[in-house]
Amino acid sequence: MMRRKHTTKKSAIERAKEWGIDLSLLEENLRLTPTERLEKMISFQRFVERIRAEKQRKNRMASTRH
Amino acid sequence: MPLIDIEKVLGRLIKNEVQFVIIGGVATTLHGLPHSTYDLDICYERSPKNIERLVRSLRGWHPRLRGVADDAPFLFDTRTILARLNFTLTTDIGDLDLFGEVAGIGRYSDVEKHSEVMDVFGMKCNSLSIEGLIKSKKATRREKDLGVLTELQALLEMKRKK
Repeated sequence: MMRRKHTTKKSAIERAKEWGIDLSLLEENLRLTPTERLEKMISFQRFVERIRAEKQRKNRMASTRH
Repeated sequence: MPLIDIEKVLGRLIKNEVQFVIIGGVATTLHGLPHSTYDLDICYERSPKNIERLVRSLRGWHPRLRGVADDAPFLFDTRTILARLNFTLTTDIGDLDLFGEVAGIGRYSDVEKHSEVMDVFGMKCNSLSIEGLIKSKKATRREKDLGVLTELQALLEMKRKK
């Protein structure tokens, strides 16, 4: 007699957890409007750009000192 | 590389009645994925009239091919857009990709069927649905998209549970 292998299909949420995806970020975003989600992304990018520009400025200053 | 001014581009396209659907990273952000993207990807309808409107909308920002020498010959006009499907462009206000078709979905008419109207900066825009994004990510089968695909599937499940 053949034995049927018992498998349980995981939900997408379970699979995401296994991937290490932070679902709280998705939950938080779901509470926002589409425009608010975009604004959040834009504001994060501007923050990264500021840090990048500051780092470049410091590197330039350091290289002119030597 | 300047961040694309999404509000400005969408505003201009809508004002000129261009038929388009937001796809790619901005579409995933609109649905709630916490990712960052520097460019705006759109799928555009390929009738000469729509392409003419598209060209008129973007021409003022001097679109040129991205990753190509500045002096490389490229004329952003209706004829050029009609001759090819997809364009990766850089403009005075950021990077913009134009797609005549989307992997796993097809051309504009199919993409539109997989889209939903969203309120973006007070404008009604068509954006690829979560289901559409999943379909296209599955079709491209890029390793880098696997994480995004998993997130989109989880997001869809979370939305359905609400």
